[in-house]
Amino acid sequence: MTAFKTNVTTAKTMTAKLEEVLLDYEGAQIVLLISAKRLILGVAIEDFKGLETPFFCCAVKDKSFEKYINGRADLHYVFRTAFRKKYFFADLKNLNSEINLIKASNEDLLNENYWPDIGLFSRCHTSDYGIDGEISTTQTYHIDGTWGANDFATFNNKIADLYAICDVVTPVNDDNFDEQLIQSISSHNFSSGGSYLGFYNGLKKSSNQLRIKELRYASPGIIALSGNQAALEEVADVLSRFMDDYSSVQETYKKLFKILKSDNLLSAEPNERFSSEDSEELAFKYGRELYKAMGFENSDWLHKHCNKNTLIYCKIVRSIFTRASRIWDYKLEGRLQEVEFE
Amino acid sequence: MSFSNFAGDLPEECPPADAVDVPEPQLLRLVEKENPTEQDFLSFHDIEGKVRTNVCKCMSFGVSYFSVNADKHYIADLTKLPKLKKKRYIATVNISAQDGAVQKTDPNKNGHYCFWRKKSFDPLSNISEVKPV
Repeated sequence: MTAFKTNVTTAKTMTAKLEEVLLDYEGAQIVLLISAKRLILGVAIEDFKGLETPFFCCAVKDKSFEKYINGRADLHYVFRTAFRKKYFFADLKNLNSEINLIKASNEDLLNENYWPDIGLFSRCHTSDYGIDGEISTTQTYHIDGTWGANDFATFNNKIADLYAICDVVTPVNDDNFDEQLIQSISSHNFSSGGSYLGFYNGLKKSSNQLRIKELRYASPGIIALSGNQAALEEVADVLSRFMDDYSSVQETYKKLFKILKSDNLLSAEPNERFSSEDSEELAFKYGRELYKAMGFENSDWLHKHCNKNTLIYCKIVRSIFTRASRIWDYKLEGRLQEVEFE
Repeated sequence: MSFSNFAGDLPEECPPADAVDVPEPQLLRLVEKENPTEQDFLSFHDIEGKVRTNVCKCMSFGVSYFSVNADKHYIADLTKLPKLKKKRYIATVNISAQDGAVQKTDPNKNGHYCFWRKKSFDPLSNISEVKPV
């Protein structure tokens, strides 16, 4: 303890409390602390100047932590992007008591033994802290033939869009989802490709995360996706509708396309009108039929969330079809084989 | 399950009541060297001489193993942590149901077991293979 007192400086006001042991392996290995409402992440280290149970810690930017907990950044990134470059050491000999944070010197930060290596993600946590209570599953797409980088990108984009809309329209009894969908719909005019991109990106932010769990490029290979079970089942259901009777689904789509085109509404903004009430009624009818043909039941719910704007409703339904159809193309080409749930 | 046969001066109530016989014929253990030593199979209590504060005290006397079906990437990822960086090898240990008791401790399905060994079981002499992580 003498060495501790003489060699390190303890910031007077800097103390923290344990929030959660995120990874436990024969003792806490990654801990989440809170100090004055700021999150602090700590990793167990071999030794530091006489501390009994030493940890190397950093103040965490909220955004970095969110990325980390959602698997979009590793622990090394969180440490590298520490809030105001604040690094500490702490003795976690008693996890239940207040923990003093000892400022790390610039020299300390050069010691690689204190840092987590690149490539450790939150999936390793033994705690489910920060992970949504959703029931997740893995859906594996078996692929064959030649797949270029563009194919993977297209497939992943389309499946992610389809998953996002399936996740949002799957009844969840969550008012937040409703609000987020309304917000996403109202903030885009659906008159250009960029607008649809923005719409789906908005949905992706509010929906449960879809992750690529495994990608095997070999022919045959696999694309394994992990995400909300209900949404992934809905995705599979949409594709199974295509498999069962693609020509019928496509026929309904063509009818909807034709009426929107004849009224010059394919790239129109939401406030533009159909040429007549009959035309609008017909478009709504085909939109409902298409939505149902793809396996969705809550047509009225979606229409209500589109502020009962038939044009927006039809455009969203049409966009779901085009995304599912693009994925279906891989099936028609023989490059997408079966879909399997874990 | 006779608790008096367990190694490591276990407290009376350990292994915990929900521990079960070892369910697999082999388990994996992270070790430091290609030729593991006794040091590689010590528990937290053996090394630190104390009991952990925030978990069931039995955990301090158990040793971490993984199912042979555990995701090898997950095991390898653990060695990216500062305190586990030295553990560069995975030892496959033959264990029979009678050699001890385990508790599954893997909410994320990572195949992690806490293992309490019987006094009669020597992990070192039951290693069948050691591979780099």
